[in-house]
Amino acid sequence: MPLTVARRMRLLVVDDDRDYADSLKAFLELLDDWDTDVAYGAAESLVRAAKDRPDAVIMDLHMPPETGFIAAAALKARVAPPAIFAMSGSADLIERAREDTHFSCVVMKPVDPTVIVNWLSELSAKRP
Amino acid sequence: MRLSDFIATNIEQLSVEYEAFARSVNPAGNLDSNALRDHSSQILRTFVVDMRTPQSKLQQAEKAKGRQVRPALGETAAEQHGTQRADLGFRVDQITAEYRALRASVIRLWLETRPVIGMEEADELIRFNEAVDQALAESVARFTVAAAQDRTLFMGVLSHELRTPLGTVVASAHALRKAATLDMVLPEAIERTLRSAARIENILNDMLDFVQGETQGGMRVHVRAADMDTVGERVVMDARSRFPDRTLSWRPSGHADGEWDENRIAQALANLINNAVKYSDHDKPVDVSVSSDAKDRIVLTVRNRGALIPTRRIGTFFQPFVRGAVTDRADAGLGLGLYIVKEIATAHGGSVSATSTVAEGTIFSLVLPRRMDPGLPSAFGNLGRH
Repeated sequence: MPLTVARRMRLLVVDDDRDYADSLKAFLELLDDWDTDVAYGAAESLVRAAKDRPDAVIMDLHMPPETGFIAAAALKARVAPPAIFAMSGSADLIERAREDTHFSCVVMKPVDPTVIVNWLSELSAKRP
Repeated sequence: MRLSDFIATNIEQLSVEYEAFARSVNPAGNLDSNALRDHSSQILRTFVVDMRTPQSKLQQAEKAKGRQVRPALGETAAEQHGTQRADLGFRVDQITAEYRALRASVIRLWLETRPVIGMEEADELIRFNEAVDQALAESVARFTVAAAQDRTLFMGVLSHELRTPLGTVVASAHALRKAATLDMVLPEAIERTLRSAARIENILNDMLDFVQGETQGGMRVHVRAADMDTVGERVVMDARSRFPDRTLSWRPSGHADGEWDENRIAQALANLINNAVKYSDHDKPVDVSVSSDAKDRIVLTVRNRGALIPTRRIGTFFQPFVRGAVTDRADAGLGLGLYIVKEIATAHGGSVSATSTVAEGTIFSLVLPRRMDPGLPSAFGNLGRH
């Protein structure tokens, strides 16, 4: 039996606020436990996801004219759907996201990045 | 002629009088004639029906306490009126003034018919006043609800706008703490943190300007000799570096000296340019110019090509808390930008207006006297001058 080596986790950070997306990526890259990529919009996240097939997505919800809700639904329809972490600065959207089964974790901005790390570690532990 | 009959036969004329007054207090300057008349004639008809309906002493007492039985299902004309006024950016004193004017003009025109006033006429006059008070109460109740919704919406937008840059600061700080060697993340983390801090500061400055404009009799300006061409050029240069992928044309007047608060004028022009860049087609230029008009006032114009703005909406752009102003762009900000432009214009004794046509595109014009007339009492009193 050939030994299968689990591939590294792939992460995709999605936020139309470039500074925010880049700063989260900069932090997550320091942990060296996963490969982190970034997309600056919902449509771009779908293109990236089709290419890189991420295991986990950190998704902003308010990205006009698009929304993270639509992107999440599209990502979940994929063959190997990623786990999706929702974040937003809007209380209304956070409430809506909590009702949305596409998200496994929903957090109000500013997000404590260690919350993301804990979520990712749990995901990682559950991987086959 | 009895008052109720007088109102019933003169609804059209009374509505016209009322419309003229409503236009004079209207803050947005964009009232649709039909909408105005529709409300006033419906409200007047309600008065007539009410006055002709027999009413017991008990019913009258209940009504005076605001506890009468609602006559009809659905919204009354006065309730619709209150919601509409909130949408148009009216203040509660302006709604009240409208009803006061309606009451006064009905009574004045009725008295001009020289009615013989006996017990019945006096009773009808009381009924009329009750009906006006009832309508006013209904309008104000709806207005208050609508205004509260605007505030809630605004607080939501404010929170959202602050939380994202705050998130950048938090994430950058965590990166700095985590980094094995600081130079791995330091330069970019510093830049992102500073940009986020500047964004938060801008939002808070806008809030402060808003509070000053609303509560302290208008924005304060510090005027001194300045050249509008120089101010304009500085703002345009700055905007070109902020929007490197956009074309900004610039046309100075060649003769634009006067007395203004340079920083405030620069802020107003920058807001107009930001607005034009944000809401125009990406591949179309934004044209900025300084000129002088027939009255030798300085005119700053910012023109963009993009989706046309319906005329009835233009006036509301300069109001804070305008309903429906939900941000539809990530960088839409608080929606206070044009309100601040208006405050700056007013504080200088000037004005701001906008037009949107297929031929010309959307043009915002800031018209400023070269210097403020010190003898002229202005809307902001003397508070704005130092």
